[in-house]
Amino acid sequence: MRILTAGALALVPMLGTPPATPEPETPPQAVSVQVEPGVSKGTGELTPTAGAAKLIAPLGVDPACPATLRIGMRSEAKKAAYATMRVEVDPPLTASRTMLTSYLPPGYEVRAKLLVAVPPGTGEGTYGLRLRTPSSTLKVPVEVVPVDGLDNGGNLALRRPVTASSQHVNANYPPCSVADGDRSSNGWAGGNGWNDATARSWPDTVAVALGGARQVSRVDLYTLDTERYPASRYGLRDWDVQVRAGGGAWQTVAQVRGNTAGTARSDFAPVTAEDVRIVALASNGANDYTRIIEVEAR
Amino acid sequence: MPHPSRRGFLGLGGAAFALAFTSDLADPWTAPATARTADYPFKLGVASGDPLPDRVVLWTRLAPEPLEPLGGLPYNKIKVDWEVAEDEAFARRVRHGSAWATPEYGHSVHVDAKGLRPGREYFYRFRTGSELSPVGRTRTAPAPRSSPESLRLAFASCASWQDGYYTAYRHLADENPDVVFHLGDYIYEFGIVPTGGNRNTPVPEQFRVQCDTLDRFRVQYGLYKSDPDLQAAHHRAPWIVTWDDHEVLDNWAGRYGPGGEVSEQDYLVIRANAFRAFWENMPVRLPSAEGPDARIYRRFTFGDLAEFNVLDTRQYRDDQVCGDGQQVDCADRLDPARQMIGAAQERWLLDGLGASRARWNVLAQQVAMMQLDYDPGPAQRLSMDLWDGYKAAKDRLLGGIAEREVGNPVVLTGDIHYNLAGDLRRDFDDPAAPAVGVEFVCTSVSSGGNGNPTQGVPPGGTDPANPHLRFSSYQRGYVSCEVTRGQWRSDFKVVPYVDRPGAPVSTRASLVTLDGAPGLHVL
Repeated sequence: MRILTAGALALVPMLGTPPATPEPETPPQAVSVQVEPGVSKGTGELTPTAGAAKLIAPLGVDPACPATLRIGMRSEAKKAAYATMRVEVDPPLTASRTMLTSYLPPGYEVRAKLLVAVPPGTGEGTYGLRLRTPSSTLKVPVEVVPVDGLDNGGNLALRRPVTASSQHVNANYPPCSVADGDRSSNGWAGGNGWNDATARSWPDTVAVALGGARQVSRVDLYTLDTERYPASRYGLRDWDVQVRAGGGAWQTVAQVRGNTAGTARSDFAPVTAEDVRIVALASNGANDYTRIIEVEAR
Repeated sequence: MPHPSRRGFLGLGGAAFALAFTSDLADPWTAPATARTADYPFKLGVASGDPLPDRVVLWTRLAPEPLEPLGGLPYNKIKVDWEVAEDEAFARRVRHGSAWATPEYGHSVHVDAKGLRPGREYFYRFRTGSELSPVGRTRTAPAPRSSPESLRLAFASCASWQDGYYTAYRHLADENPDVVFHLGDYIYEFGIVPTGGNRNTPVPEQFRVQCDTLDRFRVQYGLYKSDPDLQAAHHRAPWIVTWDDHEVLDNWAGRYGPGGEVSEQDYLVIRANAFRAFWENMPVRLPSAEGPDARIYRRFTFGDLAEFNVLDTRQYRDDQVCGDGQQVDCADRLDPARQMIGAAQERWLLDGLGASRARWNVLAQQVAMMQLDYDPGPAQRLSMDLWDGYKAAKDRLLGGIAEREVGNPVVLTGDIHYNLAGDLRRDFDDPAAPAVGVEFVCTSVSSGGNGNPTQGVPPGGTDPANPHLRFSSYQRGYVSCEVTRGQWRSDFKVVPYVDRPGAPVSTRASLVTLDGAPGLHVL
């Protein structure tokens, strides 16, 4: 059964009762596992792999949007088997898995997502993350840094606190995901984007606190856009870009109307802002929800 | 929980049961009469399943920490003793033995307890170290050549944990059925937010991500099987289970995964992990899953009264056509080459139905077989995921049933989160076509949340777009059946809410079909 169980509800030819309101649609989520086929050396070894040589984990961010690392293991066995790799992280950091266990054909590498959380009060510095198999151990240092110390590439919203008008809870749609640095729509509903909870009710808002007064002249918005869930059906269509400073009123600095693309850039005259927010007014297709992957401010 | 009448039996922990001695003095099971310890290994309860006349599968999985991938246990094998008795005090022990719980299989135990007598109630439990498991009740199938007068069964499906409480499972347990059929979506692969959805019960952060690896599937089962209502339902009766889509991935079809960014190779690895976790957590008499292929379709015979064909409508089907979902005028759904259960399973099914000597011939399966037109107007809008999307396969099956003059075909279905009861016809577009059998579709246990009692076709009502439909309701619950030699009666049991525990149960509709006269009658 599709998660969008709307179908069953329409099948309600009732006697003397009004038609049912269709359930809101939310697209099913994608998964994080990926495999990379290859040729086994036949040695029986199980080799840990990681998507990066080190992991930057910002301090003080929303626990719903922890630092993410792709971890994996590759089999040099002769036969397919269920393989296990242990995941160890230095306290007080915590990891979303203590082990990775998966079916693994020979020569294949299987990769999955590892979330590393930095509890409040953690000291800055480098912590150990170790991926252990019977054959070898891969060490991936985790650098815990304050958000002010991040290389944000000019994106003033990166890893800053986010608040939203609501959050859908049938899967993982945390507001902080719009400022987690991940512009990709892949893995929708797995924590990479925000979906509000109020179907066909507008406006919806999502706001980013920039951590102080900043000069802003451009906002980029990334809405859900994959092959299966194209922006022209599932993406955001109309929105206002607003800013405020000094606790004052929100001021509209740009408007987007009729968007059907996965990303839209708004340029405006430079303003001083402490907060930036998106006021969502309509979406495409079913016109049901706001689905935002990323908001960047420059 | 508001069910004091049943607590006398189920409320006792393992330690209390230790006071009840076995008659085998060589091995009396005793344990310190203390409360459950923090590292109590039987927190996932016990289960039994796949009953035959002389045997039943006994199951448990050791997990002092059910939300840890290896249950909080070291990567060692652990010895587990088991015993079966005729009485719940274990005074009349009839079988016992030992098995290993190994880390490769998530410390699960599957014991095929043989040498039992047919059509009998038994009680069973496990022991490891000084810890005793809860006691389960089970029942063997009647003798092969017997002529049972009646059979009481229940069936259920679709129990998304974060959508609500399993009150329906608790009421199902209270009925003490002879056997329970679970038609899939026992778990959902989706991630769960830390606030726990409709249950408002906190879950650890690692539940956020969707099930994909075996470690992740294991903790999902650990969470589901920690539920006391689900455990109660397992503790009261043997289950016969199959899977639907959410044991793996939403709407998977054969070798086709969800598409998009998940490649076929990715999907088959996920499927292998899902199948393994299913095997580890279910009381099935099946070879352990060792990869992305696993046969689970199988047959159970209850004397000459009923034969159950448990199907797998996911693993061997062709991909959904016309982009899946609901479609009007999708010609591809008629393609005679397309398979729903695959050629081998279809042959096995029709051969078995043709050879059956049972009065009631049952298909326990996943997706709706009766035609379901979702458009109230003249257009015909059909779901491509249901048998309607595999029209030729459906016609072959219903035609094959008619040609073989199969006695009293009854189809039991889940998946759709909606109670439905209807006649099965060889031509659903011809209201005058005679019924060849009947279909009962059970709603969800929890998936979809509270439901709505005003939605649906009341018993005895009609639906112009679906004239073969006799009843429908969008409520949560399960179906309870009493099968006798003269009639099959299905009671649709519903609960008014699942967003908090303790909902009462009521019967929304009762329908019967009579021996030798296919078609439904509303009571």
